[in-house]
Amino acid sequence: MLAPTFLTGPAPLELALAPLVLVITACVVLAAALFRRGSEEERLVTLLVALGGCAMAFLALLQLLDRPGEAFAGEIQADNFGVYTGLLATVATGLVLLGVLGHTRRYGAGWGEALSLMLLSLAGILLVCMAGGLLALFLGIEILSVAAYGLTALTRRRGRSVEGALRYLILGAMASAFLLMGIAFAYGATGTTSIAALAPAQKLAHLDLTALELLALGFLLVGLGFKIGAVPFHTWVPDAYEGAPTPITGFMASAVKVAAFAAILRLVYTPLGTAHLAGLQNVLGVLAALTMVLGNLVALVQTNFKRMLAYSSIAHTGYMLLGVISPAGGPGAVLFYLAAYVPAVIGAFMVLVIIGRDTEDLEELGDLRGLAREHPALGLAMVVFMLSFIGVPVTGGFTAKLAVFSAAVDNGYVLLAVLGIVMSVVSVAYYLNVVRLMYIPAAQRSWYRGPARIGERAILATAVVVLLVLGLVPGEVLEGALDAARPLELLALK
Amino acid sequence: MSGYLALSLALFSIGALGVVLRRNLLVMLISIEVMLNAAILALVVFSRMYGSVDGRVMGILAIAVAAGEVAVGLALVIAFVRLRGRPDATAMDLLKW
Repeated sequence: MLAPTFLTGPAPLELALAPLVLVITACVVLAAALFRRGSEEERLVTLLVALGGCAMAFLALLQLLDRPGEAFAGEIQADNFGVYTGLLATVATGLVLLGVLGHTRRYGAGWGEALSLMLLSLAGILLVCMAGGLLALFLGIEILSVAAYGLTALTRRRGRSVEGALRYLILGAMASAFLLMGIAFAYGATGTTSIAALAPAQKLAHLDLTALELLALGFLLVGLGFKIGAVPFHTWVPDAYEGAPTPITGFMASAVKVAAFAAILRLVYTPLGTAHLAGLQNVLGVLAALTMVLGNLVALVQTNFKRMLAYSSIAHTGYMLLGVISPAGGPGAVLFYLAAYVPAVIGAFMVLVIIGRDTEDLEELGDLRGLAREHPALGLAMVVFMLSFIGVPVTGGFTAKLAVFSAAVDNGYVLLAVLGIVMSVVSVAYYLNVVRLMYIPAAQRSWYRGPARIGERAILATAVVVLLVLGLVPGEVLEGALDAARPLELLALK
Repeated sequence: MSGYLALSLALFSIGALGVVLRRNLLVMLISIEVMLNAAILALVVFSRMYGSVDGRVMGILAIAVAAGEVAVGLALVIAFVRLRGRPDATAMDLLKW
């Protein structure tokens, strides 16, 4: 209380504490993996250390709530938008780690490496969420992506894992090149690398800066389009989601997605972005429409559950893009949408992880046949997740879709909002197909029959409770999300 | 100045075409490096134009990032060749649609 930093805002090290803690924990876990003898207890201990790192990062971020500040030449800034997205990603990673608690044997090879890569990836995600400069943003995106390529290829003797990772890497690295090119031209057009000050510069005699600005925004849009998985830059999503081990897929669909949307919101709502807001809205609006339509239609014909959820995640990217292009209320709605999407997607993948404990990863839709009869609780949890994906009232998915679509309507995108609702109706078909399969009598089943472990129960219960809370009493969370995103909106409405 | 920028854009396009058109995974990785180097060149050009070091700092860090990316990429290509026998993108046929 006596410390002067309390009055002047957080100290520089406090701002960077969460990513630093994660990097240190990752190094400790990796070092421990070097000397491993591969015993069960050892793997359990490293997992607990990793979970501890996540918890410390969570607390470090919590300290920054309502205490805005910036440090390192403005590269890292703590505003509530960054803190909320960071907290969400940290909780998501913690849940995924908790979920692999009972599976130390199954993912035994490369255990320590997997944990440390996940922690490093989370450090990159936090850097993106709290980026105040283009440099921090780029480095954060690279750290999280390179770690994610490694995570996808974790089961490196499985052909699909390596193939998915290679496709992810080639497209992801290409997207990074677009992003860096965009950053270079944004720097060229404005003369600064600070996101808040990224305003069109004074005219220089020998160069047309408008051309530079447009080039910058074009390159940035392509790069970020890849990272959020918008059509037509979505092709890596199903491959990476299917190739990665199932818990990792849960991580990519939750924490990594949060970072991608934090990045696109930060870059659209800069002075440079808002100077060309109408153009950006047109382009992103078309991308949103394509993404919603293609994601939902292709998800209809999938037979692999992970691939289906990959296309469903593309569809949800489309809905969220509607929020991105709606300056009044949109960014806050996207933040809330992420909060409602993350528990559902982690829960859905966790059910797959649980039933596949005795075997390889189970991932075909047919593997779910009769599940609710054998495991009523698992089945019920899955039903809640599917209903939330559809956006049925009482679940968080409903409130989230309501917030995003009404923001779109408020900003004059009535047609796009209607398209979103129509596509949500289409999505009922494939989500309810999962429910139908779970409740029909099973012909054959190879899944795990014992009771779920304590960590797994904790995750599923948390996910279901969060979804119901967000559906029934969303008030405070929604207000918090809207408040946190207000600075972004003000920039556009000015 | 605009000459250097044109060079940067040309390099970027050559790299992008390389990734899209070539099917050898190693050539695709090299093409990605060309794209990243084009962006680094642009950063340095703008850094000189504004007389500030920001762009050069970013360029140096981007070189480090590119090295990390290609290291992971080569590791994946090796894993792929062990499974499939050749570094050929057309041999990627396990994942469809």
